Amino acid sequence: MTAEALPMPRLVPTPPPTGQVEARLLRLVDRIKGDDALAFEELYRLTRDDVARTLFHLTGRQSDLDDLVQETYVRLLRAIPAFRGESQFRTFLYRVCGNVALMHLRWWRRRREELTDEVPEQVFGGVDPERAAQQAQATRLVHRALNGLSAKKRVVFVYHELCGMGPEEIAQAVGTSYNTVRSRLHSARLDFTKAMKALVQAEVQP
Amino acid sequence: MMRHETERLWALAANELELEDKRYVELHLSDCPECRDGLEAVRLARRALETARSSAPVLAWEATDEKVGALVEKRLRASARPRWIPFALGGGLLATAMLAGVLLWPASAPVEPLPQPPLVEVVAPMPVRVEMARGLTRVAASIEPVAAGETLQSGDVLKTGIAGKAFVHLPDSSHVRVAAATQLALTRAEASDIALTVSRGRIAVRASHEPRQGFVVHAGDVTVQVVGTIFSVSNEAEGVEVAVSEGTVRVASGDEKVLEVRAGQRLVVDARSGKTRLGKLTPALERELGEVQGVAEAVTSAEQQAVVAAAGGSAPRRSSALPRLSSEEAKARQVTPVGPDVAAPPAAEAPPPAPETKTITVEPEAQVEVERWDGPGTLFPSLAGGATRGVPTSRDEAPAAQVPAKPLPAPEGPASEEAEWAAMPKAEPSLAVTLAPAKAEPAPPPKPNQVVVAKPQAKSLEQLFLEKAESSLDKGTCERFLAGLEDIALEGSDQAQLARVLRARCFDAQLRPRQAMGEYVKYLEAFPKGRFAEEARTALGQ
Repeated sequence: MTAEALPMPRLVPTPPPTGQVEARLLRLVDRIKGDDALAFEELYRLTRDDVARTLFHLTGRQSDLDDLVQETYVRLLRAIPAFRGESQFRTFLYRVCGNVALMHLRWWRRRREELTDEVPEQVFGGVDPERAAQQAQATRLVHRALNGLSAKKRVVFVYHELCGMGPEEIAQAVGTSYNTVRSRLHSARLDFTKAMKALVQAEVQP
Repeated sequence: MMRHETERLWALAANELELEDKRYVELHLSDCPECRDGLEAVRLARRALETARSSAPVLAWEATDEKVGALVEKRLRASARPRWIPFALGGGLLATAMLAGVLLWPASAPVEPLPQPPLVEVVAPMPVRVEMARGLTRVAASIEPVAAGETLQSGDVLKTGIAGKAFVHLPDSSHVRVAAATQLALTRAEASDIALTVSRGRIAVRASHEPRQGFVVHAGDVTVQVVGTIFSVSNEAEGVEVAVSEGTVRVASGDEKVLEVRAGQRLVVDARSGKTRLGKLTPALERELGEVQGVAEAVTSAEQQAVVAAAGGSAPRRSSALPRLSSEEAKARQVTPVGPDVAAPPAAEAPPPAPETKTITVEPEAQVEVERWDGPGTLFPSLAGGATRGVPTSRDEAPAAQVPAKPLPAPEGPASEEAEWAAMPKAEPSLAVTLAPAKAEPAPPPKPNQVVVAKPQAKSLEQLFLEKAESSLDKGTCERFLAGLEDIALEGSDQAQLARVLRARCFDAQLRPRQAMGEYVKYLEAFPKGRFAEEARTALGQ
């Protein structure tokens, strides 16, 4: 068996973003610490799509996304002075996103009766209609399955499966241990698979 | 009995297993139909995830950019504000009050009349002033950042970044809101003639009713002529859009056709075909136009009241036709109250006029306060840090011009802050302090060494904004205040509580219970023991 055919080790951390992007973000962070509003604008421009997508998957709610993005950046600005560069800035950003999403999820869990299954009708602009419909269908199913996970499991699962973060990075982002992340991830995978299977069966046999 | 390998199926599908484990699971799968079904379910779930991963939500980024930008700017401004300023101002005011007390003390010897400096510095003809700027630059030989408080002139070309926004005060007292990613040329910016050119992006204008030769906005082949109204013009690749929320504008397109666009209408001129399409205002446009109107009203109200308060007169009747005092009017108002007929009491007891005349002498610090206002920077983004003329430094600081000639009887004001709010006149709050009793009822002689401090009555722009927002609830026009209220609420100041609750009440009035509940939750998170906590809990059913 060749080296290329060998399986990857268990839960290999995903490669971090390119050094150039990270270095650029870190330079911006330094400027933001000096109250440079333009630097924050640039950082916002570089990260907003990623933040919006992450929050969308973490919460599954399109309608509140605008508020969540705002809240994330306000918190990020408040937290940046405490950022000492001990982790990737991306990890730091995901931590802020995770906290905002967790608060939101807990809030909605308390009012589950109002939590409707939101169909993201306008989620996919700019692609062909058939593909857009497939994406909408898949995203709807995924979000409904994710709704069955606990908030903490959901965050870990989304970070790993949808954001491509490795378990060590997730551990830093959620402020817990590597083993806890693995444990939550395994559990979330089982729950998610089960929920997806049930949802697909329900769709096939209405 | 063979144990199922359910837990390792996902790892197998994701190729995360060690070689030995992988072989073991694959061997198990060949003998276990249940696990094969399980693996199929895992693959299905992973395919769905793969498809969902590439999906990106669609957001109204322009609005989000603006909101984030406004919030961020406020945070940065708040963190940059020196902490010692309130103490320094307080100390300065105390010293001024003590000095005034010493001067007011009735002396047996006649007091030489002091030369009277002008009560309020005469306001020069207004230049174009930037009231708020975020990501605003001036396009010249190089790109120069423009900050709030800077003045501009005819010929300047302004540009906002993708998350930028600016409010500009024109010489004719009109206000312009420059949206994100906009390029605007101040082709002519004089009190008697305004011409703006929107090369791209969007502006919203609240045009004053000052007499002038003309107010014209050019956008591509379209020319918008204004009389006095609230409207917006955008110039994008698709075409030019003119929207009006108040009044009427005349729009001339390239083919010399002139159309009138009235309040509530939106005209789109297609860039390719030149065809025009008339429609209704969108909610986003209404919000934008409401914001420029709200800012203009707040600025105007504060300026008028501050000028009158400094002059010792009563507040003028508000007129929408004259949103801002012209320099001539301001000059007249500044001069009038200095005369003894206004400032001095009737001559029943024939008191020497000198003390009264002297007491309204404005100390140098007072002139600075009236001329320029740097706070509170915590207002709302359109005004923070702007050089708003004639606004006292803050509500708790009485301008020196308001120090009365004699000790006034203690004002019978409400004790609590809420009661004070309730007691404030809503339609026309007067900031003026009566300098002397109208009738010949001599005031009690001051006690020795008594420091006379007038009750602070000047309201900050923030308070005026809150008042207007509160009164708008009944009128059903609170929508336009939501953005400003959010800014105030995020500041965590005294007014933050009221601002948050007003947002909740506004949403409630608009039959948007989810948003209202969200506001109440935010309120309880920030002020669990606040004065509106009971209202919030009741609304949330707690």
